Amino acid sequence: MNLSFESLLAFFTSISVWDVAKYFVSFALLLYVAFAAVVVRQAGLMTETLHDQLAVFVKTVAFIHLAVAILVFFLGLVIL
Amino acid sequence: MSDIYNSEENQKSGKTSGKKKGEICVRGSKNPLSAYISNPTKVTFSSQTDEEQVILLLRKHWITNVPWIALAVLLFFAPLILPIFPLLDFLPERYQLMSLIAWYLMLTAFIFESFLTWFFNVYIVTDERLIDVDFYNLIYKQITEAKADKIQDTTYRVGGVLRSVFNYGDVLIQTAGAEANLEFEAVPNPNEVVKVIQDLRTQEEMEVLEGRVR
Repeated sequence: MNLSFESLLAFFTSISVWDVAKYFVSFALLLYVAFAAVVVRQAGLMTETLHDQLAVFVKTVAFIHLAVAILVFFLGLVIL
Repeated sequence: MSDIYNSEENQKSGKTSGKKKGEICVRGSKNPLSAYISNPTKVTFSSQTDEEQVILLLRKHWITNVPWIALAVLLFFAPLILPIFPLLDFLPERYQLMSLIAWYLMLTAFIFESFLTWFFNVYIVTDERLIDVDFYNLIYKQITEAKADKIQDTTYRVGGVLRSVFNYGDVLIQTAGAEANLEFEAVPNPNEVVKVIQDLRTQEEMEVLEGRVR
C-alpha cells in the first residue's frame, strides 16, 4: 500500500504544470475551431438572407478564418 | 411601380427624361459597402418576390463603426507593450508565441463579427414593403416587414452633434393594424428616406384607387 502510494505520488510529481496547460490550451483552441465553424454557418445564413456582390468575399473570409483556426489548433499540438 | 424610382445614375444617363407627375428620384451610392444604396441591381433578399424591386438598401451610418474600429486598432497594437510590461514572461517561449497567435486570431474574429453585424443588419425599402433585417448574435435573426399600404406615419429624428454633422438619424415608421412598427436606426439622410417612404405610400394609395394592386 505504502509502495503504491509512493508510486502514485511519484507519478503526480512527475507531471509538469505545462503538460497540463497544454491540454487546456488545446481544448480552448478546439473550442475556437468550433466557433469558427459557427461563423462559417452564420456567414452562409447571412448571405442567404441578403445576397449581393460581397457574398462570395464574406464566405471566403469565413472559410479562411476556419482554416487558420484549424491550422493554429494543430500548431498548438505540435509546438506546445 | 418600380419605373418611377430612378437613381442619380439613371438621371445622368437620361433614363428619367420626361418626368411624370408623382415621379421621385432616389439618390444614393452604388458602392456595395455604402450605407445608403439606391436601386441596387445586384442585391436580392430571401423573401423577395419576382416582381419586387429594391429601391433603397440602408445600413447604419459608417461613423457608427468607428468605436469598434478604434478598439480593433488598439488591440492590434496592444502586444507592443509587452517589452515594456512583460506580462507573459512567466510563460515558456512556446506558450508566449501561442498566446500571440491566439490574440490575433481572436482579434480577426472580433473584426469579422463586427463587420458582419454592420453589413447584414440592413433596412430594405422595396416598391411593395419595408423590411428590417436584424442579426442579434451568431445564430439568431429577426426579420420585420410592413407593407407600404399599411404605413400610417413616418417621422425621423436627428439629435446630437455627430448625427447633425454626419446627417444620420432614426426613421420611425408607424403602421396600421397588427403590422409591426419599424425603426431604421442611424441611417444616413433620414429626410430623404422619409421622403421616399412617403412617396411610396402615396403611390400605393394611387394603385389601390386605380385598382392596380399586385
